[in-house]
Amino acid sequence: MRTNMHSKQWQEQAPTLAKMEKINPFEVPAGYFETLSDRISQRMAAENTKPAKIRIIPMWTRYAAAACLTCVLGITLYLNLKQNASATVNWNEIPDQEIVAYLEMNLEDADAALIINNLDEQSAPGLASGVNEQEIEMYINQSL
Amino acid sequence: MLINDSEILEKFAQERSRNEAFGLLLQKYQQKIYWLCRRMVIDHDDADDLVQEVFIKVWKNLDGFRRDAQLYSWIYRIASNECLQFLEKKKKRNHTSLHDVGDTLADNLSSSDFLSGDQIQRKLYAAMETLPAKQKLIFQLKYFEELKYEEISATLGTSVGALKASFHLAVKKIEAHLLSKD
Repeated sequence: MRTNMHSKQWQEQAPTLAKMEKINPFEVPAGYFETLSDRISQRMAAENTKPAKIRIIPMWTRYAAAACLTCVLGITLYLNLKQNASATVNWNEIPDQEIVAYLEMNLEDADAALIINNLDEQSAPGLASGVNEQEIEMYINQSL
Repeated sequence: MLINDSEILEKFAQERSRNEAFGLLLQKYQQKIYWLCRRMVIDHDDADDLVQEVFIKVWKNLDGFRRDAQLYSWIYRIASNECLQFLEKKKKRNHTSLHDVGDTLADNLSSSDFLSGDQIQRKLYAAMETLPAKQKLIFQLKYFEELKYEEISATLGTSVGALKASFHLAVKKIEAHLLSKD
């Protein structure tokens, strides 16, 4: 029901588009769709029959490298944790302004539905004041 | 009569009927996916490459497809991602913005690719090329494919509210373009 309402809404807003016939103006080479399945199958077969890559580096060297990397990462993590263990956060020392600024920068889950429902200034006067339509659109495109 | 998706998946799950199942899937979806790609990239050869890529990915990943999602949504999602990635790559290759890619695609409309359709149809496609890539995709899925917002949401992983907002803006821009004199 709501979908129908929305559908009617756009048709009222865009009568020229709504009246247009949905004609497909593109053309494809003759017999294209008849041969498409075969061409896809051929390409799949070609990809499946590709020879496996030859291993130049012996497997044991890979395991050795992985073990070394794990050791280095483990030691780094251990030292880092040890260094930071004594550090504590005293929330009282953080100014309120910094907390407010952080929250303002990170609260971004405003629902686009709310915006579209309130695009009409008459139905919600003042809500979108100071924000022009271009800015709203930029926000919507970024949040898609 | 086209076979339904669950039958395709059942056949695909069995080794002996796997190829037959994929043939049925191709039969069912190849044209839909081709036209989705074609409207996005305009050029036939590009659309042809994309549609092949899409079905190769479908073939390779159908084993891992989770039955709790709809098969068509999943295929449309792969196709949508391929199209958006293609346009993004084209943008990087040409060092142009996505908007300029739209201009290039709009130029293609005057080439031999676009053989039929009257002036107003040309204007519609030219207007679509002025939209950002994802908005154009949303417009297509809603206007041409006539999918429900919930279905588009499942395909693109975008909230229904954001889709409605985007479609609403796309329609407004296209209407303005259709009414313009040039």
